[in-house]
Amino acid sequence: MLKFIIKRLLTLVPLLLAVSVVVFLLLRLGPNDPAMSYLRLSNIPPTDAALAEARATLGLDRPVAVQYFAWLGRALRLDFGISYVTKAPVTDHLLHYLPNTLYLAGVSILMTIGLSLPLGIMAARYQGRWPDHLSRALAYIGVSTPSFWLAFLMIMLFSVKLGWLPTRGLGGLSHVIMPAFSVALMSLCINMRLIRGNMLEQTHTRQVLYARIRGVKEGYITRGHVLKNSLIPVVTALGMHIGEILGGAVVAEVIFAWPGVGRYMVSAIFNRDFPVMQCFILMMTTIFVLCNLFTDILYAAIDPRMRLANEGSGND
Amino acid sequence: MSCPALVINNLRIVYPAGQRVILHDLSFTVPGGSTVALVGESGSGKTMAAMAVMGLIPSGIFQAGGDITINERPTGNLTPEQYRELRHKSVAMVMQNPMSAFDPVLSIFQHFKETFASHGVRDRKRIRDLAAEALRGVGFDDPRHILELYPFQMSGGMLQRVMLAMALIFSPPLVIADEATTDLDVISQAKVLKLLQDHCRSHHLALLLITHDLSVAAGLADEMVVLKEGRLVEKGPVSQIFKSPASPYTAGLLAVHRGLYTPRYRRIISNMERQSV
Amino acid sequence: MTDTGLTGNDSLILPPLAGPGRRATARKAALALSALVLAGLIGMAIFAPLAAPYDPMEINLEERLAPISSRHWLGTDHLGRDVLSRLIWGARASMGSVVVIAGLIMATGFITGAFSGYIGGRTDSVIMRVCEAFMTFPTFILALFLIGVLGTGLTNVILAIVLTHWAWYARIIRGMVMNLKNRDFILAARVAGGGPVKIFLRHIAPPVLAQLVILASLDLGHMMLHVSGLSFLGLGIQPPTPEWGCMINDARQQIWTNPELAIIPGVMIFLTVLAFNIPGDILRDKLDPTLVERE
Repeated sequence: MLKFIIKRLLTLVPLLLAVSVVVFLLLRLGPNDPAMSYLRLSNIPPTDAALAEARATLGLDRPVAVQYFAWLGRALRLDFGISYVTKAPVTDHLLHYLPNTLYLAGVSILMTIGLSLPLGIMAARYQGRWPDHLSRALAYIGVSTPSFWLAFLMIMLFSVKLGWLPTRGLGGLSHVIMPAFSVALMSLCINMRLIRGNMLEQTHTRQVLYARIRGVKEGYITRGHVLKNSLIPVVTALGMHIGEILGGAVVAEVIFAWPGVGRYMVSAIFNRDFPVMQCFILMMTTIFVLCNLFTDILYAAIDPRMRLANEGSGND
Repeated sequence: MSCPALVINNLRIVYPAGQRVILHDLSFTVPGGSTVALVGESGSGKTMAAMAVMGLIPSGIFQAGGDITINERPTGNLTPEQYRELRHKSVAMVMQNPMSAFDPVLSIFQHFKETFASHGVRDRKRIRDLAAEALRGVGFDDPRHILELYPFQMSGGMLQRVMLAMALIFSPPLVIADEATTDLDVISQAKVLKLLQDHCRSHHLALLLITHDLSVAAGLADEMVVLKEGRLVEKGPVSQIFKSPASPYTAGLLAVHRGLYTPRYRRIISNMERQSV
Repeated sequence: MTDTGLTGNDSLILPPLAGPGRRATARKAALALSALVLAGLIGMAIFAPLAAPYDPMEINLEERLAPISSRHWLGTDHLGRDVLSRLIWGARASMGSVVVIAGLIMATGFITGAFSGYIGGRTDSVIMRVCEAFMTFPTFILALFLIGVLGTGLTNVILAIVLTHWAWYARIIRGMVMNLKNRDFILAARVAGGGPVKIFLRHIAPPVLAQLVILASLDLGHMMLHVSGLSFLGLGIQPPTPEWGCMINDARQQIWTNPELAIIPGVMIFLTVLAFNIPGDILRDKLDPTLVERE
């Protein structure tokens, strides 16, 4: 198991390097001129002299490869430069907001798993009857609902009409439940149908037949064989869900004035604050990659084939 | 003489959606402690008969007539729970292609555990001991190690022996072996068949041997039942059928079977068997 | 399996279940409805100038936040613009961008994937590494970054979404092409003397393109959600051009007094995405249950 983890960790390095190259190239090749933005935000008139000076300060006059390595070196030291707006180090800002985003995303993931599991199992158990049809209908609706619209509907109902929940800000359950749900709904619905489908498929396998032949109790069959085998693809799907949730959190943060990195990023886009943008994408992508690594490890932990496939004791 | 392990009486199995009759009023008996070979080509309905005995006919297929009696217990009025209790205790089955029957995410021990627990044995230590004993009985020298393995870590021959051990833990009066050796190499085949035969003899268990391989039938069975397209063609003592088959179909099967066995081939096989045993 | 305990000892041959028949009619109804909605939306988009009663950008502050009336069937927004007209014109932006995005993604995915798969070798490895790099990013996050780099506006939103999605398609197309390339009938065609380009166009391209269209159509709803999401954040179409996501954003201030201004455009997005998803889902069920599901 440890060997597996180490092997996977090593594949992270070239992956993240490739990511950094893509980010760097996209930054430099964009139509926006960082020097121009810098001057604009600093309220310095963009004369030729000022531009030249800005370029030199930002190191834009050196060859691209040199720039990349200089940039990479700084990135590895978590130095992403100074915000064009606040003139303060970007990394500090983002690290300050990051825990809030992780909190929101974390609750969303918990909601996704916590709700999709029982609903999916129920839909499989009552296949063809009304709980199954209801879950299918809900899934269609959930997958087609824009998260920002859902957020507003919830605010209108729970805040404006009923006054139960606050509309904005960081906080505990009452603050996080609406944003987290708006982010989680789509993933929840997809996961619910996935679990249902897997469970139905698993009840018709030869393994289940053999278990029945041995007179194994239905409860043991459902838990030991069907559920376990059904959840394995769900762990794989988790990686996809996390990507969507990280993206959806940005929108929720804007609507609910949640002080996370997503909201910060959106204002940085309007301000053309490039240092913030590059730190944001590298940070979020790294988190995403680490999450995928985690799901891979979880998968290997559940599925013995991943861990042991190469070992054997084949003496007959 | 002991009671018959299995009595099938006019069993009729139909597949309405395909408008097919899978078994036409099949009747035969497996006397207690004896070995009966159920022989026929692929698609003759042999496996469906076995499934009917187990009470596990697939959905969409129905028993439209007849009755089955296992160890003098009629199955017609059993509740699902009663039938479940009967399975593996009164009638156990060894299936073909064990690799796809065992669950890859459960260890061999876990397979034993759920089987024992479903039939009233819950103590883990006791289960482990009983399972190890069963595995030793089928020729594993290090059963404790086998219990920790997962199915994909073992070969087909090994798994088939595990399946056999599993089937014998309660010494069921009736054991059904459905093409249990078909996917195996010749050596493993011989091993498994010998184990089957020895165990059934020593514990006085009846064996319903489903096979399309007449040499297997000839080697182990006392009686033979020949099926063709869901119909009983012939049944009787093996030696009699081999000597003088009553139906032309059986005669045809025997001719094909004999055609495979040139004298040279038979010499090689008996040499191999002498060496491996 | 007889998990319901039906040992079949209930003897008689039972009639077939009512299930499949009912499912099929429900499916047909859903398909018909979706087709109707999509046709309506496309009609709205194309015939906007004729269908809309007012100029969607005409500001009329005297009539701001007017309720539903015979003059304004859906009322007016905070600048007095007719909501219904903005809704109808909004179909252009939304449907139009989705169509363009889908087309561009199919084009880039096909060209890159087919080229990479057909050529093989070093070029293929390099292109696949690039694809993998792009696929490592969470899609919405990458789209945000691209808009940050490229600037706001509809064109850049389209570009951003295309750049975040093409790699997945390229990978699949490349896989299909590689698979087909080595089949016997291609060998036969080559022996018969066809040039590589001709063989590609005649034998490989058609089934790959068909699969591509199916895959893309399954994704349309998702693309629509991304487009309206980015527009909602103010990164897409710039006001005053009407677009449904934008309209919801504009309505944020009025949420306490005129909630319908946020509800109505959302209903349009919801219906559009639903109309895209239902046929896609049915298509997927019919064809290949093992089709990779995008999120």
